[in-house]
Amino acid sequence: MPPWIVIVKYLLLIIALFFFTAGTLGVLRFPDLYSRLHALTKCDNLGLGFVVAAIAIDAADGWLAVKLILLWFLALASSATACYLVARSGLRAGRDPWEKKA
Amino acid sequence: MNDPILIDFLLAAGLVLLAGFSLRVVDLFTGVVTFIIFGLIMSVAWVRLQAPDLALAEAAIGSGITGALFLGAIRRLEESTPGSTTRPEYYSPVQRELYVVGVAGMSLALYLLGSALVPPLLEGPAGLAEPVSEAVGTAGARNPVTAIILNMRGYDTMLELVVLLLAWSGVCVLQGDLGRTNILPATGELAVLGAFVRFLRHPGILMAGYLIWVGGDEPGGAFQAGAMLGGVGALGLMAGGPTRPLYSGPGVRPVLIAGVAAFLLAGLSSIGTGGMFLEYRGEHAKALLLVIEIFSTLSIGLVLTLLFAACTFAPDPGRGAPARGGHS
Amino acid sequence: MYLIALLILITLLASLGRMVLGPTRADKLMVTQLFSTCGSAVLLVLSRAMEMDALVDVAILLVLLGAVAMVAFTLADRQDRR
Repeated sequence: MPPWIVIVKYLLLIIALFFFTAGTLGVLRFPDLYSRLHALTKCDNLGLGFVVAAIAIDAADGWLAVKLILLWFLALASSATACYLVARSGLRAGRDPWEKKA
Repeated sequence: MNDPILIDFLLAAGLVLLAGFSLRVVDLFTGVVTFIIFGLIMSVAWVRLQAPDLALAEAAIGSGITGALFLGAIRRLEESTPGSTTRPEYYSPVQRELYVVGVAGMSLALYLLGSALVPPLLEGPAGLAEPVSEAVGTAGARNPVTAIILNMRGYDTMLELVVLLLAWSGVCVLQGDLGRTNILPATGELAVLGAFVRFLRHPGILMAGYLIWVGGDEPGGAFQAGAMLGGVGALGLMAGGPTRPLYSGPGVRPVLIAGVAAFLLAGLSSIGTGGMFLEYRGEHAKALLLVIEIFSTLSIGLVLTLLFAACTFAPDPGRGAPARGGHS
Repeated sequence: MYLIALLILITLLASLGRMVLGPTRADKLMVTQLFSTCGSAVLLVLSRAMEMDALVDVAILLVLLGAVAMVAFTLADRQDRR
């Protein structure tokens, strides 16, 4: 494997790690349900997406890459749906979004 | 730093913590969430123990399906007896501290015991690994786990399918007629969920078929594939998919017993060709195992879907009663 | 690669704090969604580190079934309000 591919792979993984860390921090520290869901989807979409890209490059196998991309699309659809449903149930339960106090 | 030991340590510590937390939590809902997360971590732990077959089963059944069943059960409990899913905290702070110290001490003791006991065990005879790997060549599956589950210990697996059937008949006895279960039809506000399920069902069914097919050579098999089908079925029910026909239609019972029937017929056919009951050898073994797996997967998927529906949706005597009379 | 898996696992376990804190059920259940996606990311990284391609299948299963619990939860919420 040429060295530049290894560099690209680790670069992608480090970007993924950044999104995982940021998303987890958001889930832990954000003030209300809606902003926490927003942080969560960053992990789901971007974190997993960059991991998938890095693994596909590393594997260098066409069929595996197809499976990985299918996995990512599934994750996108499922996280979007699940977070939409949770946010809607929160809204209907009468939970107001957090606002900065003046 | 490129050493998995820290991963293994974190996994083990997380498992002990989550197990303890799920047991002593005061709110059942939190307990179930902890249980689901425990299953996900357990699945990664099985991977680290070089057991991807178990990881698949744990991810599908232990965490996915069982978690959904528990959540449905909690909802039903709260409907019938409000307040029954929480309990007062009956540990004093000192007892809780003692509990944490006790768990930590026991983990340490187990670790020391394990590190003393395991290396000698690894040097000793390797159990049944050798006879199994010798027999795998004629057992119809190159994945030894599949060969054991379906061929060498076929009785166990067949009876597991019977257990699932028994669970479903128990639900039928408690819940009454299948047609009485109230499943809400899809409404406009659930358009997103409906679209998601329509998007998911094809990859889901494809994945189930794929798991059956690779089960012969690589990790996979009927229970994992069945759990996959069960998950797709549960999502379909929640989005308001087919209701009555799925429950009390004429096709339900044949599919329910298809797995056991395939086992029995294949077992009898192996007697006919000179073997023992449920013993398959030679060139037909692979085809026989595949047939058994396909029918078992259908049965498992349907039982899990029906169990989920029975667990999640309350019976609706008002709407279902006339239909029931008309049906029978 | 093991180091990357370890770091993802650490962030994942840190998010357990949200499950303990709550405050609502939705917040707690959110953590399971995080665990199914980040767990599958850990599995993908491990699949290269341990050279087991079958782990990709486990990851797909985690992602596919991770949604079931979340949907079941919101559905329960919908019926209660009727």
